[in-house]
Amino acid sequence: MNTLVTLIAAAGTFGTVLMFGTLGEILTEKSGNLNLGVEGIVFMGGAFGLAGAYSYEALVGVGSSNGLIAIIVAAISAFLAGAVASALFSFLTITLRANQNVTGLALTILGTGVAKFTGEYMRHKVGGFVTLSNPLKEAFTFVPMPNFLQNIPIIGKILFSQSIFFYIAIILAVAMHLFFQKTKTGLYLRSVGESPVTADAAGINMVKYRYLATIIGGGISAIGGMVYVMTTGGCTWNEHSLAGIGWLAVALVIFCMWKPLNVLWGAILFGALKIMYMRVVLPFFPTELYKILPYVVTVIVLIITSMRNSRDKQPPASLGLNYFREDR
Amino acid sequence: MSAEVKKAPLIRLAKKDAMDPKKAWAIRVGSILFALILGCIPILITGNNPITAYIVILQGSLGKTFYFKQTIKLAIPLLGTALAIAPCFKMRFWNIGAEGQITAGAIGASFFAIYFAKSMPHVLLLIVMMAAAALIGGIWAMIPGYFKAKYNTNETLFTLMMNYIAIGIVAWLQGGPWEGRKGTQQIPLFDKNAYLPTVFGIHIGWIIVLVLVILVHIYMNYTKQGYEVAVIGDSVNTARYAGMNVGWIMVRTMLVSGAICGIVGFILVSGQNKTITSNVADGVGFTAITVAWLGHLNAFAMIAISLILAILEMGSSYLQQVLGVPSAISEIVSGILLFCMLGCEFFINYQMIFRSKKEVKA
Amino acid sequence: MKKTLALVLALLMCLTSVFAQGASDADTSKTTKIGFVVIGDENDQGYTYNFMNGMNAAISQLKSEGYDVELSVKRNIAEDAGCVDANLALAAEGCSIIFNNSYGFEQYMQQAADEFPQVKFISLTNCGSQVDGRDNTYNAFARIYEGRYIAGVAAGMKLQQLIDNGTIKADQAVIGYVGAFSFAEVISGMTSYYLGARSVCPSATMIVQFVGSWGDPTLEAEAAQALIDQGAVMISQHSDNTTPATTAQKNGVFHTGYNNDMTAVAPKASLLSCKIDWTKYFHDFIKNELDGKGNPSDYCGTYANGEIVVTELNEAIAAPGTKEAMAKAEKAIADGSLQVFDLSTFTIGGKTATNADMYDGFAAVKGDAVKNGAFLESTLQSAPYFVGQIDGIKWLNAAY
Repeated sequence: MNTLVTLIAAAGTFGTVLMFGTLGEILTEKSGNLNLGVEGIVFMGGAFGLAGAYSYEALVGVGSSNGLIAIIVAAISAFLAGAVASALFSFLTITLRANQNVTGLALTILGTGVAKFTGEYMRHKVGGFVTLSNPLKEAFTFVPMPNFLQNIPIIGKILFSQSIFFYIAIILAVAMHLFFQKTKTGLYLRSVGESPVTADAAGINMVKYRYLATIIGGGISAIGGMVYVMTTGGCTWNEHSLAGIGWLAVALVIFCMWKPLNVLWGAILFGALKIMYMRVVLPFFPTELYKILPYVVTVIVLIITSMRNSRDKQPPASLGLNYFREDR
Repeated sequence: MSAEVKKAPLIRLAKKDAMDPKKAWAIRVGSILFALILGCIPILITGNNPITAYIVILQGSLGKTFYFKQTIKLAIPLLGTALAIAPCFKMRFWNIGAEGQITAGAIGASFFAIYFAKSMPHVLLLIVMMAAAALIGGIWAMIPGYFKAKYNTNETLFTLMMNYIAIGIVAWLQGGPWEGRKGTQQIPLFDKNAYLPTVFGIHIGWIIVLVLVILVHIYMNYTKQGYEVAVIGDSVNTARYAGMNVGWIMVRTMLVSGAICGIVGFILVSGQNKTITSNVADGVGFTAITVAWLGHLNAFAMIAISLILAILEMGSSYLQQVLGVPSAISEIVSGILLFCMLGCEFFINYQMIFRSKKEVKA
Repeated sequence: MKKTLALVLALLMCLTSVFAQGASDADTSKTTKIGFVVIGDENDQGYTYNFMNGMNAAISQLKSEGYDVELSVKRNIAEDAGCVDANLALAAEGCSIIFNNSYGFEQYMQQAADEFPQVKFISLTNCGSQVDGRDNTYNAFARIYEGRYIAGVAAGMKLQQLIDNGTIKADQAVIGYVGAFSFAEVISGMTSYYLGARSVCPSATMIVQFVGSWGDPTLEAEAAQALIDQGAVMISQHSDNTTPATTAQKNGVFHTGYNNDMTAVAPKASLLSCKIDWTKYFHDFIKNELDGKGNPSDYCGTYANGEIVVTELNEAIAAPGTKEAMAKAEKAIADGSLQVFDLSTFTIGGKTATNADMYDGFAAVKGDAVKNGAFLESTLQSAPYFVGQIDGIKWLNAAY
């Protein structure tokens, strides 16, 4: 029991990263855009989040920097980086009608390149390593919950001992759920992704919806990269450790069946699978194979949903397809 | 909202009839030049002269026999994988699982390199390795193909997941059954018997890939199977009316595609790495998709595209040594290049019709 | 289409011939170029950072002595064919001496060594050069286990203080060790560290997590967290990043580091670090080559030569008397009265250990390392070969 509690609590750290990455991609995919550039977007979010916070601290001086401002600066820098990258993606796929898969992969190449370039450039400029001062680092991992909540057995550790980003991600997931289910805009967005023909005929401005959903979604995904670098990454640039987070987010979108609320536990589960080999050792199962479980599970989910062919558990019907009014 | 429907938009788009191929290629080359100009921005940020930087990139990729060889080595797997992807994409089957199919093929080849290197003659061993790679790569690709054909399972996402499963299996082999010194997570180099021979100082992967260029070109343009693939790509329904077994053709094409990827995996382990690591495909599977697409699935055009990307990658690593520009510049310039080339197709395929006064009145 | 292709190819040919001229001209200067292939970059504030500090110091020392040397570094190189390419590129650039800083680089470096027989290739921390049949490959390492033993003493003093204060019970003196992979270099290091701790805190025990990566900040942090969740009150590490230190601080436990002084990162947790100072080796190797003296194919640095460094003790949190205890151990190691792997200080499976229990069958050099009642580490070859699983250390996960 105790092992389980500590495992779930620890999974929250990496899970938070995945939550942002996945929620952003869900928003994008709901509009029918399959943005395979998430990997690049997460990289950019990490690099620019760090660059933002670092520049802020360099600007005001180490002594007088404020943790909250640093978090806001990092989040905004990451969001903007992701948004700009996704705007590029949108311009190409929506306006210039380029193939989504190929454009997404190109964005992954460009995004990881820009991020590595930024990280390496900062290191080169500074001439040693690039990191923040200890008080700022602590601001990013600070647990914003009062002690009495943290001390509640079991749920205190799981729910109330996480960084501020964990709670923001939860609020975001709930807000996104309400947006899709309860608002007219959300309904329109879903119809754009499900049936562009109908949406277009109903007079919904498809272009606007796809652009906005993709850009905001990209920004949210990018925050995931920032959270990774600033919390578990120790506020320093490491180009290897971010690799794969974006793809994992793409998998998680499927696993969660495009439903924001599922991300809350899905991300924790995927986070737990990444680190489970350190806590639960099964004698008959090679621990290295734990790491492919998220992908295997995702494949199974994909197959089962396509076999059952039930409407509400499918990818948005026009996912990955561009819409040409003239093609009708 | 309804107002938008009634009023004709300011700019209307219409599909162009086929553009003069010369003009089309001129636009494409123009987009490459445009991308290279955009690529100057990050170079300027580092405080270097872009023209010098581009010259250094060319020096570092083509300037010496050694650099040229290295550039070719980078281009081989890119080209090979792009060839593999072409039939799938022609069919509008979005196989983005080349990374995994390369890795799966590499596992097949490595199995024989590890266990049979001493007991088989050189040429036979290499042939067996290549056959095993093609088979395993093909099977790996067939799995998502089967589910697409049978249940219409989303192939983009399925093939993507298969990548990480294959990579995970190699990671397990690296630390498990095939590990060398215990705890090192490293598979030792193969026996020399399992290495690809070299011609002109480069492993014969380049010959294999050039042969594949011709074979794929013939397959796609002059065979019945290639024709079927093209018909499905145009319209699945047309293919069905014509009595084609669409499901089987999908599975078969994936088998072919995966087999070629597998052969690339074989070239990578036998010619380049001399062993297998979980990183064996190293992103080639993804980059090759852009190569195939930008080459318009034309086997010969892919040669040029893969060379351009290889030149950028090889040259940038030299650029970092000489001018201190981070070598990730190659990924940036490649990315910009891909974006520009993707974008320029729009201007080839569509024309913009501006709203004329007449139309507004009507 | 074909015309375009022909045009592109012709253009490439032209460029090749033009730039061939330019590139070959660049290599004629007298400067000796030193190449360095590294697995990470300075941002790790640990492993590669430490190597780079040593290299930079050696280069500036050589320059001040009048040698015309220049450094060229390939960063963030993976342990695969990319490592061959990095070595080849440095050699093609004109480097005559190329260092490689990760264990897993050696088999790739050797491929480059075959293509450039006149260039010297050094695989740091690995052990193949004595047996690989090549004249231009070298190895080097240092007796870091001596430094780890002394760091262990500082950790043991802290644990004993916690016991004496009543903060923890004697059987709660648990050390958590974040290891990269379960092979000799790590096992030797953690065992010597543990023996150092146990020499001053007899009830100390140790639990170990193998991460499966030299440098993945998330996994290192998670390994440290898992260890702390299972009762560790002192964390040490054989991995490249600082996240075990910060995790220790977050949980209010203590830490000793590796490769870099981590007291700045975690002032409330980190007591000290031990590291190898590579400056002397780099300096001497390059100098010897330039002077035409040659170098041994395998070199092992020692505490006595100043190649093992224990960083300054964080006295704000260290137990009183730690400095003295460390000095005592240092002196005993230096004069030979203390053997780190003294067979009388540990057992394997409840019995006195034999060479077969401890000697790594995969070490390049075969032999018997047990002499005069002690296991002699790093004497047959510089790279460690102790792989015994001694009583008191529990492996939580041996997957890697």
